[in-house]
Amino acid sequence: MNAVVACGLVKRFGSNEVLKGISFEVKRSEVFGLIGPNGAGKTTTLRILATILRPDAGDALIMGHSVKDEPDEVRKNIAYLPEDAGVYRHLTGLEFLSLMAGAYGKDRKCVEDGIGIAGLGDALRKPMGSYSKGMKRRIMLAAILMLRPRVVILDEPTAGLDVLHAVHIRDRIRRFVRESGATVIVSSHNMLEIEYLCDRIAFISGGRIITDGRPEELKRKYQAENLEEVFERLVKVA
Amino acid sequence: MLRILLRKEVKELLMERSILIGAIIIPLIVFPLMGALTGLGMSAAMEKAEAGIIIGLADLDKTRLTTAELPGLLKERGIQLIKVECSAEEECIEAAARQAINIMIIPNGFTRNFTSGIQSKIITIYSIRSAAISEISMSQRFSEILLDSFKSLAERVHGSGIDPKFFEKPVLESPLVLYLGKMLRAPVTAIAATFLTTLFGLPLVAVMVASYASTVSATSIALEKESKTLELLLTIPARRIVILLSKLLGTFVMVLLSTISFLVGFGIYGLMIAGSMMARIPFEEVEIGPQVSLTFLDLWPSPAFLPILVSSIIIAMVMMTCIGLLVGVLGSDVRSAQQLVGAVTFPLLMPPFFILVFTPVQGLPMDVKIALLLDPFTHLFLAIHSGFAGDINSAIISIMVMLGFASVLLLLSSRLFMGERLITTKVTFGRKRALEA
Repeated sequence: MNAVVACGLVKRFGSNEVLKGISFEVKRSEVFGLIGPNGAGKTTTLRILATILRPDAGDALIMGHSVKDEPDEVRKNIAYLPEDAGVYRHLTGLEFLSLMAGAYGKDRKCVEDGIGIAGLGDALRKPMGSYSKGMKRRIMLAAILMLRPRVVILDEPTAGLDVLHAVHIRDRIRRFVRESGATVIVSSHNMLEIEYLCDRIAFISGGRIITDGRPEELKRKYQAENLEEVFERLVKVA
Repeated sequence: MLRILLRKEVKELLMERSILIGAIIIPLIVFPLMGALTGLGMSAAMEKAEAGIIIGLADLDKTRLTTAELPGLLKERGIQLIKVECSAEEECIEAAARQAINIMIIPNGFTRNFTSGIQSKIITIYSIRSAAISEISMSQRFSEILLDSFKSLAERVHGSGIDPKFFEKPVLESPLVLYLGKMLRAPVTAIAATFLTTLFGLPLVAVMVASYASTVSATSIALEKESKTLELLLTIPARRIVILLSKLLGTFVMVLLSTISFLVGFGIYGLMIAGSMMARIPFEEVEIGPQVSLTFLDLWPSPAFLPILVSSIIIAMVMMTCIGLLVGVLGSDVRSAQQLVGAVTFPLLMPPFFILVFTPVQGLPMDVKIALLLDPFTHLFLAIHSGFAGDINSAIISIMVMLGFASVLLLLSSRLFMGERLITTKVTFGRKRALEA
């Protein structure tokens, strides 16, 4: 059984059809990347997989559970890091990790894992309102990964971060995948990041998947030296 | 430069729809509406007061002065007298309670004193049934007319040779106020002052608590949206109803803390005002002494009032919390959510609050009455007023109606939390706004 199966996802906001029949499959322990220009439908797709939005047509199965019919079961199997996710300003990092562990019924060991993943040291005892953007992202990622979910959904995990924070986050994701064998779906505008993290990628534009494959396959197919060139050519085609 | 920057500021602020609605459009609509509704309530109260007052007369003197001349003068001033058969004060009090009318007792020997230029005593029993200003003002008006009529009577009896001191105060009124089965030896003015601190104050507490509940819940949900923690919250493996309950209970805790603080502060204020200032009214015309001291404790109704008061305020909190959540999700940030929630709750709370202070709902024109009864918060004030007046059945009916409204609002809130509207809803003013995809 594949970890994620999206089948004909359609989503409309009023008259605006944002997704026009998205279908893809993600194998277990695979890192799957969604790339595409702004407004292509990446965040909407991830929000549907995270059960925040309901598709108008089509369905998606996460570990065999339908996002439409069994959202509660889906939530037990996933952890979602929204794009530009904020923090509870008055909670300390440590309190937040404990809150998340409690919400998922995890024990103290889980919080200790979170402390390690965040790597924020004494700052964990300070209110998160005082954190920089990079620190906020690290604590959020730690809170997600420490839960060891079967499927991790990451929406632009390093957007707007400086190099050091971005490198830390990429390393943690990669180490997490290696150690846990979890499935990861990640969206990003950073093609180097996508190439570094992903086993397979899909290119979305205008609410449709234009192409998908392994990074090397796509580079060969579009006779490009890197994924940025692939991206550029696909945008022109789309 | 200032002109350029000012233009930018004004344009930016005016284009912010929450400011436009909350600060400019709503006051333009709400205040005239409130003025119209309150005016209607006041007019109804005044009309009722002026339409003719029926007073029971217990005439123990039975002379031509008391059976013909005084009734004639009172009739000219819009007071209709009906004969009440009672001889002792207690008997007359029972009659006033039974017939729910004000009674004036003219004691034996009144005419002899009056015609001799000696100040005479009369006893007045004011039977107050509701705490609305219309009824208080009617009783006050009766007291004024009575004094004026006796002055005219004195002028007629004594002619131009009247002793100015006697003319100034030909009778000494000994007022008794019958309220909630209690007999208070105090002028209506003193009762009115205490009523205002009690029956204006208690609904005011309810208004403050309810408003605060809506603001806290709207802020709570808007803060989640503004700080972008809502999506994370909605993906934790908890049922949405649990998330909703946590929001409701969190709001209750905050509002309860605020209510305790408010009640302590307001209680001290009320006691100070009622005990020291408003209820210590010099009232030289009455027999009972230069000053009357009443506090709201003297008027405190039956033990059932406290549970009625508490339960109606709690249900109002539930309703307002739900309204806060429902409105809060419309705002894109905390500021706009608070503006919107104020714009929605203000017209729901203020008109019934003000109107019902002036007149009981029964005294209102039918269309105003229907409009008010459709407002869930009218029933909050009705429950408090009825509970205070000892009409427990009416108070329970009002509470049941509030429970009905609260159930509907809870259902709407739970539906909001079940679906995706929590994330996707924004104020669009006719234009559908797509999410960033």
